[in-house]
Amino acid sequence: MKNIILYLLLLMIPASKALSQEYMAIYEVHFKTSKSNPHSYKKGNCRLYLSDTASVFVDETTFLREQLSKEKITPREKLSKSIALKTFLFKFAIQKNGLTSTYSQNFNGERIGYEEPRMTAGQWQIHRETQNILGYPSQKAITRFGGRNWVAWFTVDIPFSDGPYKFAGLPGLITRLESEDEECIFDLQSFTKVATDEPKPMYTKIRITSRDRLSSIEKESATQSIKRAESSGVTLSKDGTTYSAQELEQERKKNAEDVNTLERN
Amino acid sequence: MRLFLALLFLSFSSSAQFELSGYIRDTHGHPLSSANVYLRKKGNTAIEGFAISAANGQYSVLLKLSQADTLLLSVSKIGYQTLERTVVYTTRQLDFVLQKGDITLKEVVVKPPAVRRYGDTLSYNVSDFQVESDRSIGDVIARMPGISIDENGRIKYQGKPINRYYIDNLNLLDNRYGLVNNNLPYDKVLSVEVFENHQPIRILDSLVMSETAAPEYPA
Repeated sequence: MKNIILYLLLLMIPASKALSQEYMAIYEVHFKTSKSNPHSYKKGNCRLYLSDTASVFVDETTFLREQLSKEKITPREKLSKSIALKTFLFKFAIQKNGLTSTYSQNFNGERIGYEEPRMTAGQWQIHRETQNILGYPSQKAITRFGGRNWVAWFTVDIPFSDGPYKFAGLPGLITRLESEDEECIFDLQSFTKVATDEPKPMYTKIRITSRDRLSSIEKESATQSIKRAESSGVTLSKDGTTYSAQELEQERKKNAEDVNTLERN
Repeated sequence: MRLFLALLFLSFSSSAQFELSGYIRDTHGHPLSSANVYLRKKGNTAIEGFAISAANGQYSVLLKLSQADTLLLSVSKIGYQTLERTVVYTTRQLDFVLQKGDITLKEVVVKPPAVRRYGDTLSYNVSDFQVESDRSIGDVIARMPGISIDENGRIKYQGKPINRYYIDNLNLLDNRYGLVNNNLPYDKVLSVEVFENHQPIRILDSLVMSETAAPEYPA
């Protein structure tokens, strides 16, 4: 009798593993962070967590910082660990399910975002050109999205119709994505299985608003932090000159206009 | 005129556009959404047309096909076994039933290339060029292809001296960069980047092409 029970258990373990196939794709990103400065390219990694029903795209450092904030360690340890992290490129996360893609970002502990229809097959035009990317036979496809022309390479060997940022809708995973102006480049670095017990990004409490509202929340939040710094008596100086809150706000506005974004509108 | 008509007729008969559609279901008869449907010519790797199935499991692909072509239609979805069927010129409707299957996808992890170019920036990965006897970043830079350091400590890129030396985008030292180059431990530097056609004054970028380059070290 004992033998039978043991046998059944052994069978059950691989079966339950087969049900939840989760993968992670890591993209190396090169992104021109300033509109005016041609030498403002920054390098970073972004992760795309894939399951059979949904996916989450997030900047690696942003995700690791979030994980760090949840760890139960002393503030001192937290500080030294956060210094060791690379600088992040993007603060947002993109969650996609079958029909919707949700953009969200953390504002002072609250997650706010907007929803859009997921990119569809009809938005892409495929070309005959093929190339091998990381051992995956990949084919070219082009699209126009967010005010830029994009070239994507996708592989049917990985049957996730997904990719970096909001990009999806091809009959396989995107292995390389590049804007025609070369300002944003995503290169697949690794594609691996993720252990079920490994921490993964999960954003369940998102206050959904409109896209326009979100960008004004973003502006307000930056202005608020300058005001908060001033009222708490913090002065900010650079090269020996101290700046007033008003001057900082002007500087922020000037910088905000020059900040490059994946979508140009 | 007759020739023109003949050509027109030829092009009509040799290839026509048609729609191929159908439903994708699982073994219980439930519709499968978000399945990938794609067509290839037999023996080719490039895809001719594709679709993703809708919530009711329906798909439709529009394609150009000549009578001589035989196509392979594949249906794939994560957690299911990929199906392949031959499509001939007359096929208009094709339904699929996908079997659950634990398909192992090929996994890869790669090391980024030692030297990469994006825009007019050349990026060298420091860890690919360092050896144990190195002391400073200068020792590593001297080994990078295209870069040399002369006896006065001047860094040259493709034979031309560099005109700026940035650390994390800050121009700290102008021409006294030798100080840093000979003392900065190489393990504190992640990559070395060379900006070709670098103009210190931004506005000039579109007007004058600079002949010299500037390296930068994002730490």
